[in-house]
Amino acid sequence: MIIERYYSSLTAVIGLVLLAILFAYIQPMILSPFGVTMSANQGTTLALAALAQLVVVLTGGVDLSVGAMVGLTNAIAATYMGTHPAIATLVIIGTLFAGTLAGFVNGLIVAYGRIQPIIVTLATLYIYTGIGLVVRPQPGGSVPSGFANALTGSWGYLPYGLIFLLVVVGVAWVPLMRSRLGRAIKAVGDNRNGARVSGISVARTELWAYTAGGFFAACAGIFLTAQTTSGDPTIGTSYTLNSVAAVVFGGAVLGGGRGVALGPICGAYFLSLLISVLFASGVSPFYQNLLQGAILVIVLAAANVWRLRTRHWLNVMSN
Amino acid sequence: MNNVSESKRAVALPSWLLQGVTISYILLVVLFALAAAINPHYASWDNIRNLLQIGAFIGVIAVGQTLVIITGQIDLSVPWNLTFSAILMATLISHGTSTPVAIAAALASGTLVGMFNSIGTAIFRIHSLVWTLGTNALMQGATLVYTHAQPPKVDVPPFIRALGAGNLWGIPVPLMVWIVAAIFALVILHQTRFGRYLYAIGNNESALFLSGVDSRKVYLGAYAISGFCAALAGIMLTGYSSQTYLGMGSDYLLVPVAAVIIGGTNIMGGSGGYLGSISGAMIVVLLQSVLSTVQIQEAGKNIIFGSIIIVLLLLYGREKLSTH
Amino acid sequence: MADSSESGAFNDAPALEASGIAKHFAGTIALDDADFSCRRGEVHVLLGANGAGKSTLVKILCGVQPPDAGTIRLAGEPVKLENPIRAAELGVAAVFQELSLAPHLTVAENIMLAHEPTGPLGQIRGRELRRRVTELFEQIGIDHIKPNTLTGRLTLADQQLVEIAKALSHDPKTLIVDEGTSALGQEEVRRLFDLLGRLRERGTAIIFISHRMAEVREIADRLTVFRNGTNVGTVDAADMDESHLVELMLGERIEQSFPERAPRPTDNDILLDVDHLSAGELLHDISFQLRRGEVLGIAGLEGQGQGDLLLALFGMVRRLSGDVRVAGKPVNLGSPWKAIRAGFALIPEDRKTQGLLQPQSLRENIALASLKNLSRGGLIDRARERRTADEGMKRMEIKAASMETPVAALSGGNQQKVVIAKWLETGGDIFLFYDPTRGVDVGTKRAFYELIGELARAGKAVMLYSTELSELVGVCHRVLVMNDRRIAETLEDTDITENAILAASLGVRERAGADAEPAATRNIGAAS
Repeated sequence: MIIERYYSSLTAVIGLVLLAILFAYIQPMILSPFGVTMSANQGTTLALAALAQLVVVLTGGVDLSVGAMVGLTNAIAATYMGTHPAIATLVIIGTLFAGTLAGFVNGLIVAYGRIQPIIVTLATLYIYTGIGLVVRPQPGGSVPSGFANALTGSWGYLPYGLIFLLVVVGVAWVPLMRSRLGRAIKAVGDNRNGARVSGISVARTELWAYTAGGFFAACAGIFLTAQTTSGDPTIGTSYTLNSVAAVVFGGAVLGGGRGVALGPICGAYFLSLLISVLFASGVSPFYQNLLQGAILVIVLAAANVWRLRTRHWLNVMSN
Repeated sequence: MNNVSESKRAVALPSWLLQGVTISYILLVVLFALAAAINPHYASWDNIRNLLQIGAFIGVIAVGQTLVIITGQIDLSVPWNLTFSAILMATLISHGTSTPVAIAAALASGTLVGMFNSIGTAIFRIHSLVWTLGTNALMQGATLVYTHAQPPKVDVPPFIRALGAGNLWGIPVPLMVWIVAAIFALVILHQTRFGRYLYAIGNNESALFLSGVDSRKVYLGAYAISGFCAALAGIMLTGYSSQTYLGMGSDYLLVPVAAVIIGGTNIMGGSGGYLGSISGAMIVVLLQSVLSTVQIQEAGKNIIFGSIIIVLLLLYGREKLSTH
Repeated sequence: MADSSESGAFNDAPALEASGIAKHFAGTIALDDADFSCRRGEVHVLLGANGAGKSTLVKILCGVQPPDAGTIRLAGEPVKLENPIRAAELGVAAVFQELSLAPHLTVAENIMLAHEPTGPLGQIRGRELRRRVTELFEQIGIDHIKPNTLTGRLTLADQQLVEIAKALSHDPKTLIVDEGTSALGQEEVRRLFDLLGRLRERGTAIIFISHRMAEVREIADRLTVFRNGTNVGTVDAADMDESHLVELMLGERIEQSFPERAPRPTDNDILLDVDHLSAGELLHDISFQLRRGEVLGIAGLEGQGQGDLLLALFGMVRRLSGDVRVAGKPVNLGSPWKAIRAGFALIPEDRKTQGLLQPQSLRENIALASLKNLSRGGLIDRARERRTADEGMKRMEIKAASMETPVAALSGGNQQKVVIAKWLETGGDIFLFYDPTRGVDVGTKRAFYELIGELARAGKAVMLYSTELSELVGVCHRVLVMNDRRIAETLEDTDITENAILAASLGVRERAGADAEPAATRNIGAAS
């Protein structure tokens, strides 16, 4: 483990800790098992969505369809679990498969169509939302209560949602990053041409990175289903931009090659906790969207302030 | 003039712009003929007038979007910029402000938001897709805070209603506004220095900068016009539906972009023009109109516009395979 | 490392043999029926001017690009090198000119990239990976680089060593080193050569590409010269005759002729006065004066600040310190538009990425920098624009069907003329030429030299940064030689000779090093 890589996560980690302390100070009730679980659960979907975003950002792309994939998988899970509660496990597997497939399609178009990822995923954002609306034209559906409790309950102070996140990280993220594919993902984002001459297939690496992104988005969709116990294909919209914000705040660089899971995960919990803190301190709920937008814009700008300091105008212009 | 053999190739190739525009107009005619063949009602003047009237909203937004896309950027802040401007105007009117002042305030608000877009893209160099979506979220938040999710109930003044739904000598007023906007766009793009700089940025920003042009100001202008157009469309839409509501901009995120790309403007910037965007807007309106007759309207719209963009990108927007 | 079972004498069977290799890129021929072979245990140097096809051959030999035609044999066996990993498995590895390292991976991760040792579940075995790298470092004598460092933290020279280690990690039977010494200092080159020597003894075939003749002379066993995508001759190092090699590289030697230059103006007004100009790490304390009618050359080894000096004068470098006066008036540089107002014009380094709008017409390109004068109230006066474009085309003798031709359809020389025509229209006084004749044919070069003379005679001032020594000697009145981003020496009139420029570039007195050094470091790649 190279400690230096985790430096970039520091802002998000410290920010999260300070915010949690502040929250406990304003609202001491929050230190109950219920309070901890509720706060954690609000951030877990975004944390998983941030992983989906991060794996794509590492290759140097951005996935604007993350929110749509979260919404689509949410719609699928809630719809089919509602009608076939007996085979909930199968539905979960099917949902994971659907999300992974959506990511795979993204990857296929980006890698082999050779189109800018950001505009491809903007278009698939619409397509996946559309498919979600076909599956579930109106919000609704239901989930077996056992399923919801298994993901959103807690064991004392330990929320099951956090365990779910850790399982996803442990079973999918860490092995991915420890594999040759994971190494290739980072290398492609860091030095695309260098990766190519080192014998890495850039197209194949991108394909599987977007596919992995779809899988993590599906995990987020499943958790969201447990949390809301219903399905709504348009519910995911906010996760697209918030996942970008979490990833950038968590120290990853749009442009690729740099970023570890710790930062974006903490960034995601930070962003969701921030909203709770503001409400707890009496800010009107109408400010939620405004604040989320403002945070995104500030985080993005802050990550690029160096451009104001650079000496060569040509460096300013290169993207 | 020197005539030399090496330039033969260049003469033989018709310009890219011509192709894209031509294709889009052929597509428009074919689509229209198909629709009319299935349902003769489509060919009626009433229906055509109706299509042109709805097309005007997209067409006006597409003026700004075309300018921005020619620079190689994009403006995804239109939906909530439009909504906020319209609601700002409606609120002012409900508080007794005179109509011209309210309209001016809406246009100024839209223009300012556009200028804010250029800060992120031109100075911080954040991909405009992400940054303008951020602006969109910001404006959504601003709208909710401003209205507490309750857009003002207001008697829309006759002038604004005329802008959105009126007829003058049998011609829809929105269509007239569109025509004026289109002439403005064509003059800007093809007759002015600013227009030349837009294409230059799209092709090679460094070359423009090294020619002594502050490209950041060019971005500023393009985004300001785009914001102005969004606000103008918001005013027209308020007149069209005689009210303001929170979802009034939701159709205008991807649809104007689709119109511009269908019209043959390259999403990577540097080529294309507004002539194509006109037919692009009409194609989009025609598709929407056909879709509105089938069941899965909302879902179908999403899927079809998303797919059209992918297909067009595969045709025009592919990056060259690196030879290095 | 390679098998050393057969140490000592080697048979003559080629370790690598390529025959009939062809490669085309969108209309241009990079390689045409090229043959090449390299024996075990030899260092085989590849020479050739820019665009001769060396780099393409290297890319084909290590599997980065497939050839359009031809066969490659390794130890007599025909092989297909589909990708770099396959090539490495078959025993061919390369050190690339442009570094292939990912700056945010560690040294060890980079070295083993794409051939990491993996366990049964596909997981990378980190400890094993580091062990192999440590072992490799011991073998090749790298002891100052830690395998766990992030690669981007290393100096350029150390990164180049890592790049070499990366190639050696494949245990190659054939090692290709493409400009592998460009970032290395003398000490490091020494170590690299020791290493190559040891590999050679073990029977590794080494293909070595360099433009530094001193290195070539030292390391080569045999040399092959490429020209226009084909092999024009292979010689033993023992029979090496440098002037003959240069002739082979250049083909028919065309002596560049220079127009007669006007006498150096010593009485004219001082147009540009630069006083203690500095810019952070880019430029240190630059002072000089330039008179009307003068042509001032800027010389030096690659990357000594020559380019940044021109860019700084053109306002492309921010936060300058020092004074710049034009015609006696202090000017504030900080952006190109301010520089242009002060009278500067820059013909930039790369016409493709900095000079031209490729898909747009000649007319639009020529008018671009002077649109302000060609428009009223923001509207472009088309008639005046056409007149301007027409004048520019005539003045520069640009060959094109019409002013509506896209510049992408023009030849390189004509494209460069378009860039210059653009600046003639702005009415600038001080022309900054950033290596303008690179990749331009002999006839067009002559036209440029004439133009530079004409500008000088018309009372303008010219600064010419060039990588071609003959050009500086043939055209300039004075030459500023830069070293370590400051002015090392100013040469005047008859003192300007290729030897003197090189000696000053290297920081040696001319008499001391005139015989050996200049010829040795001469960049033959740029001499065509």
